[in-house]
Amino acid sequence: MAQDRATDMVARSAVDAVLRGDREAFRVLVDREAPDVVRTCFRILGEQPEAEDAAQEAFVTAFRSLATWRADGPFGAWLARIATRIALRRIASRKAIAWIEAEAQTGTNRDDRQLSPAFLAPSADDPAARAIAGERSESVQRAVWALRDPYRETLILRFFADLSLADIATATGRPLGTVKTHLHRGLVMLRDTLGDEVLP
Amino acid sequence: MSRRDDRRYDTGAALGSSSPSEMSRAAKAAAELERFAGSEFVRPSDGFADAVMVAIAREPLPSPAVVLGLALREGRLGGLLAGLVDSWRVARTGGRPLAMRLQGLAFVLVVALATVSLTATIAVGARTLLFRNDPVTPSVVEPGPPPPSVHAIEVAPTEEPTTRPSASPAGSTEPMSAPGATPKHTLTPRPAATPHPMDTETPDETEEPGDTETPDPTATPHPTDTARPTETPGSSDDG
Repeated sequence: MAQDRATDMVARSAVDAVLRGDREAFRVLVDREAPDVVRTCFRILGEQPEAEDAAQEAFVTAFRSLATWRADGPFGAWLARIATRIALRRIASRKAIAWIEAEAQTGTNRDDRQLSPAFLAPSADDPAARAIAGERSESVQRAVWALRDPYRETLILRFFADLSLADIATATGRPLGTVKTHLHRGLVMLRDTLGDEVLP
Repeated sequence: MSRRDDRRYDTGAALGSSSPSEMSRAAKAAAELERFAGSEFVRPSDGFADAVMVAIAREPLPSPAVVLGLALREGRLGGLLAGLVDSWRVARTGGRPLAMRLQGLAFVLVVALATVSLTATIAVGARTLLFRNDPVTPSVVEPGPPPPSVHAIEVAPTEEPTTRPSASPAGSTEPMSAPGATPKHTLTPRPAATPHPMDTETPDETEEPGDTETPDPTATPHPTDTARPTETPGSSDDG
């Protein structure tokens, strides 16, 4: 908690410096938040190049909207929410393209995009096991994409962006109890979507 | 950003009203998400921060104006409203440069004034539309009794009062005029009278029924002064 307050003060100082006209002060925020933002986008999108594109777009969006940051919660939580929305928007556009391609093809309605090895169990050396693990991860990922907001956003901020429930409440402007409800219902819906094949 | 807890999902955080089976399902899904998100070896590539700084170098410095302008350009009403709320908050709260706060306050005032002006304009326009008196609304007004006139006296058999102006020097005879009657040349003033089509002064200037531009009763023209005698529709010279 003390560290959070300290880092939050660092972020606030950097934000104030940027608002006073010191553009270079934004680099402090980029260096500090880039690993988390890229990782969050990667968990949503599944590919590092695309994740870095989305992360860069998130930083630019945050820069434009810097004057609206309320400073009542961690800067990283606010940025994570921006990154989540941008990544999900890319998912939506990717789906539209995949559907068009699927219609043009015969006998397939699945995205043929290859999974990153990061989604596979690191310890699985067996190619078959890796393939099964990859399919399972892809199923989880698709099931998360298919959820509707606000449940999807809450799950992503909690499990992909590693935010605490309190930070999610601050970033989204919702009461803590509401965030808990969304988290719980989102998990139940996710479980129902995945079914017993994926989650025995 | 906060570090993740050792247990991402605490069943104790779930609502007390959840059934055991529901909590079990939620816990399974949480475990699966934790496993899925367990990869920690994803890092930004070298030069990522530089690429971000190059991208923001092309951006204007952040301000409430930028936020509102972007929302306006993209047609995002929600973003515009959120930007206004944020501008008000920036103006009211401390911890921001004075120029930023003044800018936020200026935006809020401009939008408030524009809203009030627009509302007033719409209200005035609506009131005008609802309560205006339409002067060209057709109305059929029963002609009343004509005032006494010298010419009318000359026409002894005529029972029907002359209520319409004559456009013909020879006079347009009323359909009900008795044969041999002296043509009436009376331009009886009847502001509310409906001019007979045959009695229009100038046929190509047929007056609308109910037209109020009836000649003044004191301006009864002399029959010889009437213009365009040959143009009166249906006129006949009984003379």
